[in-house]
Amino acid sequence: MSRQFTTNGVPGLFAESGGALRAGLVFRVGQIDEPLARRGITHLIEHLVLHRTGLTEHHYNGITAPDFTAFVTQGSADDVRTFLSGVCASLRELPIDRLPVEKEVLRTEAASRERGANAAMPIWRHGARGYGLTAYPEFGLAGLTAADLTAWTARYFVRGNAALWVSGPHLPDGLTVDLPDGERQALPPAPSVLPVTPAYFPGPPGVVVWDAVVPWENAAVVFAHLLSRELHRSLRHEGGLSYTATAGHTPRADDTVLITALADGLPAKQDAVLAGVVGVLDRLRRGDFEDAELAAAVKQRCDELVDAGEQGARVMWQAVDLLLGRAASDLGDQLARTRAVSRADVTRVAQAAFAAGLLQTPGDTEAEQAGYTAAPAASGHQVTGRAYPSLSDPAHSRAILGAEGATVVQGETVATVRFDACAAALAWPDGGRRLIGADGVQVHLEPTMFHGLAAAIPVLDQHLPAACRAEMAHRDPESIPRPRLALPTIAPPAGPAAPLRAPAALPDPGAKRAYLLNLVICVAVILAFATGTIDPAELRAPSGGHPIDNLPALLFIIALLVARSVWAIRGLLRLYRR
Amino acid sequence: MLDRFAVRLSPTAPYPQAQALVKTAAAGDWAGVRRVVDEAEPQARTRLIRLVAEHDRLGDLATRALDADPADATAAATRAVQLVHQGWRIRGDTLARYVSARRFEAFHRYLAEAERVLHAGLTRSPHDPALWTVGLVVARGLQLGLDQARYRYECLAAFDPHHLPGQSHLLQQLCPKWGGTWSAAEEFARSAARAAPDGAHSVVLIADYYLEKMLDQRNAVPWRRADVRAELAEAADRSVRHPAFRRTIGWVQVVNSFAAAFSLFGDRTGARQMFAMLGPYASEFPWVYQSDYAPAAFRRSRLRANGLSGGLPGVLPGVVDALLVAASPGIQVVRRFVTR
Repeated sequence: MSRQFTTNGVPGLFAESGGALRAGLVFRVGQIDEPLARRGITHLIEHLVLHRTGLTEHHYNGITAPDFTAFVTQGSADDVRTFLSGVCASLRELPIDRLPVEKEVLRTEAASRERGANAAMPIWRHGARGYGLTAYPEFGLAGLTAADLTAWTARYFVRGNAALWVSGPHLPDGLTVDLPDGERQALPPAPSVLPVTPAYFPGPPGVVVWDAVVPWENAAVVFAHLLSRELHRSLRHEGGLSYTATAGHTPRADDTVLITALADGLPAKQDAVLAGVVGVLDRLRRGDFEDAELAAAVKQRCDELVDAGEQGARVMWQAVDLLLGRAASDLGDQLARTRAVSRADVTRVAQAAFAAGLLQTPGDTEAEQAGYTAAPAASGHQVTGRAYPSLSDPAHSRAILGAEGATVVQGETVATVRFDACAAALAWPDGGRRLIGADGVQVHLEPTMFHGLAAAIPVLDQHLPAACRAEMAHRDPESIPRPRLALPTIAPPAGPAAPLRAPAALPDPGAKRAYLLNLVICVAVILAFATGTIDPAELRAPSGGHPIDNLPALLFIIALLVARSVWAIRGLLRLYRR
Repeated sequence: MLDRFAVRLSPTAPYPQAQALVKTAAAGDWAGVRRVVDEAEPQARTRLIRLVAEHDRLGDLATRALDADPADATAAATRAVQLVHQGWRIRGDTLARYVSARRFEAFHRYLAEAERVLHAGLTRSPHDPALWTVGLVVARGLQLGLDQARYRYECLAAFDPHHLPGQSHLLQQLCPKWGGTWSAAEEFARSAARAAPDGAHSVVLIADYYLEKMLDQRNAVPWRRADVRAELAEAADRSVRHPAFRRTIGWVQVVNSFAAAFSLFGDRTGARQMFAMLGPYASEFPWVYQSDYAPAAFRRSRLRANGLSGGLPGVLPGVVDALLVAASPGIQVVRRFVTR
């Protein structure tokens, strides 16, 4: 069936099959090996290498997977020989002059790529490390230099880190794989950033996604098939809630398998879809499923294995196994193991998968009562440092730059990236910066959006570790965000508004009494003069003995008294007016 | 010599810089105004803008400057303050129910225009504390409510956390006469004063809060309480009596507030210190709370603080104060019916 061989020190695997001659060269490097700031470097190298192969008659392709990279071809024995030597020659000396063009091609490819409903799942589970990196765009593209690429190929595209596979009627002679010396590169760690599982987070409306990472075993793959069947039956066939209700599995290089389930539904029925998905997972973990369903799932898996074997597709996975130091599994052996999967095995996997599950709920639906914990959506703490108020919502939003990190506060939401846990710092030439923490939290610092931030960007740049800095291409001035102040305006009230109480001197409570007393005394004295009760002739000026019964003096006194009483009357009138 | 007898009420009198600025504005030199105003610290800038805008000789200088350069935040703030000032002059200082419907309509028209100018200014320069400060006045005049006022204040505080002109406006809004509560006003005054650095003008909010409360409830509260006096003394120690207190624009009103609070709450020593600091300079606020004619209230409090001989050399200034206080009803009559 399949046998191993060695070419120029590179382990090889040949599988006899009926179809055309196919071959591939596999390397243990992929997206999960890239630092976030250099994201896209493997893909760029793959493109450059295949460019030299040029426009040929035979079919060839490159694959940049999360954990491996493959160059594959199909054609005559000569085609395969030429292809392999061409790839190796290109890897030894990359066509650097082609760099700007391939960057453009990759940018176009990225623009046409659609983000699936499950695009955010890896970031929520792994942050910006390991398998979480697969969810990010190729941030490194603009800033990658020839030196970066050469260093990358010298480390990863080497003899010790490669494997060759061939499938077809016969193994062609004279295959040469002329690679530089180098060592096998271990897998980077893929830690989870979820503090508690099972966890959930709110996603886009109209779709429910669930995934779990469990150790790889045949029972896990059977469980994925069973889950797919149950979801389809429950949500589409019986409930009529979903168009798509399915599950799949993706093996990972670290001996685990990612099981993903997805069910869509109209936004009006999304709560029922969520309940349906959660219900199916619950039933499977309790072992509540038909034997016939399990048998059908086992049969599906076996058919899949046989099909893959006939088409020669299995051999590439076997080569990856070889590369990872695992025993290459035999088809017959694997079929036997799959058929031996029991109800207890599947139930055990279902329980493990539930415990490790991450659920993306549609919109803001709660999943607390179903046993899922909300995944942390924001950082718990802020850095201490200078605050830069937002220019669009100064009251509630601000950026804070400190010596140990940066924070953006937007209302209730706090996002913090510490410099010592910074996965990438995207740097635009216009001063815009985006920091992405190892936990996947993003802090977007736009000098146009925060008051005084532009002057602080050079200081920020000094704090940033050089390794995490990713230079970005020039931005179109139109695409630089501009602040829009949220000032709730008013329509001027029509006509007189409700009474205002303006700050004005309030009357002294004793004033009225004082005015009355003044008035009474003045009037009494005047009356006393008029009636003759007081005789001016008997009054004497305080200074001397002169009586003041002359007319001018009398008039003067009367005038003073009248003035005082007028003043008192005026004060009283004012009090009444108030 | 004359200063010992005079009381200077003009808001520009204590600040030669402001006098020069008003002259520049009266001469129609907007570039000159803007140069001086924009070089000042944020608080001083807000106060200078208000001094220029409320001066009768400004005319349409700010309007023309704004037409020439719509992005000129200083012109926008000046124009808005001018509109508010003109509107309030039409409305008058009396209680709302004595203001005729026509006057109210005009008042609101002015304020709505001020709000429009503010909007245009704030969308271009949302970081201008002077614009936010006027925004607080407009929100109060148009009765936009406490939430709106708090939002505007928070925006202001994001750019300048100890901006006394804005803080004073918010304190007014938080008082019951503008729809707030005493507890909210008290809490704001205390927290803002606590947060202010030593020697800052903002600590005066404590004194202002007690003056407001005094105006409203002079018979309802036992006023000469020891704890209030202690709080006032502590506030004065942190601001006007602190070595870091700076006589930048606005200091006269701060010291006047403390002087009024000290005299009302019976702290003669404190009041005497404040009047010694002030010399002849009085401010309209807070003395208008005690008398329609601010200098009379100022003199009366000064007389009470100093006694007839006082801390001043010679008995003469005290006697002049006493005579003028006694004559103040007559002076008021003359002011009301002759000079005005």
